[in-house]
Amino acid sequence: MADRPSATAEPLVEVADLARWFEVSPPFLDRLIERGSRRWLKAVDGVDFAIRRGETFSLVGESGCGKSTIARLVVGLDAPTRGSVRFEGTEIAGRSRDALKRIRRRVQMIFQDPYASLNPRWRVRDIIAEPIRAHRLARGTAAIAERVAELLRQVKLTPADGDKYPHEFSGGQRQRISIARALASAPDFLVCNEPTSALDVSVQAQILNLMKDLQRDLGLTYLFISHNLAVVYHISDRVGVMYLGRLVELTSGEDLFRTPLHPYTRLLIETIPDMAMSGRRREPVGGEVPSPLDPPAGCAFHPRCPFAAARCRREAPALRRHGAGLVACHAVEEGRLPPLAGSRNDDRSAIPIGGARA
Amino acid sequence: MIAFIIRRLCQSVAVMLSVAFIAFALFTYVGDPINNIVGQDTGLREREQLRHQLGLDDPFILQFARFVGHAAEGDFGLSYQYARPVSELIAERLPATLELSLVAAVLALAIGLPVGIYTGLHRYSWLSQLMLTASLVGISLPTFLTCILLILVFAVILGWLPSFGRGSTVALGWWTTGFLTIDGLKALILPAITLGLFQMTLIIRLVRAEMLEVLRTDYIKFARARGLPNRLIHFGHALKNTLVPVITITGLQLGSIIAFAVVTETVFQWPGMGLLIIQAISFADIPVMSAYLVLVAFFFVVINLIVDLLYYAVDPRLRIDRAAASGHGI
Amino acid sequence: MASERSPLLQVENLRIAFATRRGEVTAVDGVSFAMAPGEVLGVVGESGAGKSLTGAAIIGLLEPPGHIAGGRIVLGGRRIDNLPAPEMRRLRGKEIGAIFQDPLTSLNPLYTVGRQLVETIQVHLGLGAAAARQRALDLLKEVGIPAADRRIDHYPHQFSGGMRQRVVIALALCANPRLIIADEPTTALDVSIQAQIIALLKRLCRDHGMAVMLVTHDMGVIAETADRVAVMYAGRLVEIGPVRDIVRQPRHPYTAGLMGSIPTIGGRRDRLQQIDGAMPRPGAVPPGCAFHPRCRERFARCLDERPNLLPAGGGAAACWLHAPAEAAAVPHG
Repeated sequence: MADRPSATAEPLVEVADLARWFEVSPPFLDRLIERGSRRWLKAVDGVDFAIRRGETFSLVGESGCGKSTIARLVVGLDAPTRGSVRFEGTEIAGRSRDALKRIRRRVQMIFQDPYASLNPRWRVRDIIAEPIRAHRLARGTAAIAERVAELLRQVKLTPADGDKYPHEFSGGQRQRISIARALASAPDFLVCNEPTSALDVSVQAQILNLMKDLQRDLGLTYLFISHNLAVVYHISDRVGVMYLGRLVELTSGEDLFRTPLHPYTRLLIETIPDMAMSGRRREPVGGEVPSPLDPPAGCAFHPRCPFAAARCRREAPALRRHGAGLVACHAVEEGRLPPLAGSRNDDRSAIPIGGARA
Repeated sequence: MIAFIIRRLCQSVAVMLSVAFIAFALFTYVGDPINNIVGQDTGLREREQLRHQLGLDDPFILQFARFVGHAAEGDFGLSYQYARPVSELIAERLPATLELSLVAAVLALAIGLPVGIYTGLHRYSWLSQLMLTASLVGISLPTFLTCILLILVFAVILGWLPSFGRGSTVALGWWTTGFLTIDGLKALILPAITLGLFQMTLIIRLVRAEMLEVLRTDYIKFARARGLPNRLIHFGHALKNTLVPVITITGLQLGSIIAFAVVTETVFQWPGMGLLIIQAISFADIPVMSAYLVLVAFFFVVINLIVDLLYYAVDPRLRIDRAAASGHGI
Repeated sequence: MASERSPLLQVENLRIAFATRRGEVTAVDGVSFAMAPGEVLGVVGESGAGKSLTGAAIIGLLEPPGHIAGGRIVLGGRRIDNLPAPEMRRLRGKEIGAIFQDPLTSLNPLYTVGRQLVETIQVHLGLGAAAARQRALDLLKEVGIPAADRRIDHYPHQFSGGMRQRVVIALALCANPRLIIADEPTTALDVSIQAQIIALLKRLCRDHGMAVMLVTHDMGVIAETADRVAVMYAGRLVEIGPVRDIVRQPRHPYTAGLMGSIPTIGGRRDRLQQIDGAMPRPGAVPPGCAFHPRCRERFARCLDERPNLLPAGGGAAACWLHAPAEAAAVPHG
C-alpha cells in the first residue's frame, strides 16, 4: 500500500438524528412540593454524520459537549434515546448483545486512561488474548501466543513484554497495550476516546504516529474524540465540532482550520496558544459553556456569540451545507458573518493557518 | 429540604411497620396466647369463646392493625411474667438504660474524638503508637471480660466503686435519675466505661483514618500554601471535613449502645431494659420482648433521622442546589 | 530585561530526594536558576521530570518522605530552604503564593469562598473583619468574578471550573506576594477557559509586578505567557533561556525533540517527530547525560560525563554539543 486506502464514498458508520437524554429530575416528592417539572440533560440532541471507510473522523468540543456520549453510543455501550447508528447498513442502536456479536468484533474502543482500562492482575498476554479467545479467532495455545506476539510487535512492543503486568509499563506503553487489545479482534472500526489526553506530548507523538501507521497498514477507520484541536488537526480527515450536544460545524480537517465558519469554531481556534510566537495578541472570549441542564433557547451559542441577532435567540439553526462543509449558524446562512480575522489584528499571516479566507 | 424530611419520615414509618410486624408475629407464632391465659383444664368451647372475645379469630390484617394501633399508644398489653402493663415496666427501666447509654456515648466521644485527631495528626509519634495499640486491645476484648476485669480491679481489689446496681436514685416525675447522687454517679462509672469502650476505640480509628484522608486532600495542601497556621488547618479545615462519616458511625453506634447494653446490664445487675429483656427471654414473656423490639427500632429510626439532618447542617453541598446556583455543575 | 536587576529568587544546585526502603532516590538533581522580580519563568517537562517537586521545594511543601537533600533556595537575599517551620509558614502566602492544578479540589467545600479569603487575609495582613472582607471583595472583582458582592458568600461547588480557578488565584493574591508558583494552572480547564486564565495571570503579573513560576507540561501555555523557559528532564535542568529562542531554536536535543513532537495547527500533517523510548524513572537515571540513551546526537563523552549548563544561543543548555571544543567540531542548529 503506497498511501492510506482511499476513502470510498460508501459510509462505514452512519449516525442519524442521534440523541441521548439523561433524566436528572429531582425525586418525585421534591417535584411535587417544589412544583418542579421533570428535567432532562440532553447530552446529545440530534446529531447526524457519516464516517467513510478508511478515514479518520474527529469530534471535537469542550467538556460536557456530548462527544464522549456519542462514542459510547456508537460502540453500543449505551442505548440512544432517539435516532439510529448503522454499521455497514445494519442498525446497532438498542440491539441485543447476541444480535451484535458479529459487529462487536469489528468495532473496538480505546479509552483515555491507560491506567484504568487494563486489568492490573492480568499479564499483558492474557489481556491481549482475551478478545482472541472470546471471538474464537485462533485455536490452540500456540496459535493464540503467535497472534499475541504479532500484535505486540504491531504496537512496537516486544513479545517478551507479554509476560509482564500492566504496572510495569509507562503510560505510553500501556496505551500501546490497549491498542493491541483493541486490534486483537481484527476490527475495522476503532473509536478512540481522548487516547492521548493523559499522556505527555512526546509520548502523544509516539501514539499518534502509531495510530497513523496502523491505519495505513490495516485499513482502519477511526472515530477520534478529543478536546485538543492541534491533535485533531493533525490526525483527522474530517472534523465535527460539537457544542452542547449538537454539531455546529462539520467539514474537512483542512477547511475547518483554514476557514472556520461557525463563531464557536473560530473561538476554539482563537484560544489555541500560539506556538509560532508571532506576537499575535489573543483576545480571550468571555463566558463559559452554559449548563447542558439549562441550555439557552435558540442557538445554544448565542449568549457568547458576537454575531448573535434576534433570530439566533429564538430559533435553533439547522446544520446546512455551506461551501465544502456543513454549518449550523444563522449568521453564516444570512451572509452577515464578517470574514475571518475581522475581530483581531491581521497578524495571522505569520502563522501558517492565517491569511486565507472563504 | 421539606421533601427530604417527608421522604425520611415515610421511610421511618415503613421501617417501624416492618419491625412491628415481626413483633406481632412473635405473638402469633411463638405459642398460643390463649394457653398463657387459661388453665390446663379449660374446655375447647371456652377457649374458642375467649379467642373470639379477644379478637384472636379475626383476620390477620385486622389483628395486626389493632396491634399497631395499641402500640402507637404505648400499649403492649400485660407482661406474662409480672402481670403488669408492659408500658409501666418499660417506663421504670428506660431511664436507667438511657442514662447509662448517654454517659457511655459521651465518654466514647469525649475520649475517642481527641485521641483520634491526635493520632491522625501525629501519626509517627510514640504516643500515637501507644494509644493505637491500647485501642486495639480495647476493640478485641469481649465485653463480659472487660466487665469482670473492671469489677475485679475497682470493686474487689481497690473497693472504690460499687460492682452492681444503680446506687440511690432521685425521682423526677416518672423519670428516676442517678445523676443527682454521689452514690448514683459512682455506680455509673464502671458500666459506662464497659459499654463505651468498644465504641470509643471504633471512633478513635475512624477519626484517625478520616483525618489522614482529609490531610492528603488538595484543599489542605492549598491551605498550607496560603500560609494558614496549623491550628486553623487542622481544627478549622480538616476536622470539619471528617465530621460526616464520624456523625454517621457515631449515630449508629449510639443506637447499638442502647440495643446492646444487655450484656453490661446483666453483669452489673443494672436495672435497665437490658436486664428486663434478658429476663423476658428466659421467661418467654412475649409482650415485653415485642415492646422492646419496637422501642429499639424506634430509637434507631429517630437517631438516623437526626444524623441525616446533621448532614445538612455540616455540608453545604446538600443544602444548596448546585444547578440553581450557577449552572455548569456537570 | 530581567537578568540585569538583582534576582528575586535564586535556586542553587537544588537536590530533592526521597527516602525509600532501598535507600535515597534522587528525584531532582542539581537544579540551578534565578528569577528576576516581575518575571514569568515557565518550567516545562514531562510528568516525573521534577518540575512540580521543584515548585513544592521553593514553597516548602515537599511531602515526606521527599526532602531537600542539597543546595540552597534564596528569596530576596534571604535563604529560605532551611527556615524553621513556623517562619516558613509565615512566608507562604505572604511572600510566595501558590496556584494548583485542580480548582475543583483546591478549595475547602464546606466554607464559603469569602470565609476562605478572609481567613487568609487576616492571617497575613492582620486586618479587622470588615476591612478583610472588603479586601476579599476587591480581590474577587480583580480576578473577574461577576457580581462579586453576592458571590462572596457562595460555596465553591456553586462556581464553575473557570470561576473556581479565579477564586484560587484571588486566594494566592491575598497578601500581594512577590512570587507565585503556579503548578499546571490551566491543565484541568477547558480550552476557552484556559485562555481566559492565562490572560488573567498575565494581567495580574503586570499590575502587581509579581514574578510567576509557571510549571506546566503545555508548551503552548509557556510560549504564550513566559519570558523565559526552563526545560527539565529526569530531575535535571537541561535548557534555560528566553522563550522565543527556545521555541524557535531549541539548543538541547531533548528540547528540540519535545518541540517537534507537538502537533501544530497549520503544520504538516504527516508523521510527528518522535523521541523513542521513555524518560527514565528516578533512581534509574543513566550515568553521563540523562538523555543520552534516547539522543540521536550522542557521542562518547555523553555516556559517562554529565554535562553542566553551557552557554548556547540566548540561554544555556546542558549538552556537550555546546562545549567549546565540541561546538567547533559538531555543527548544530
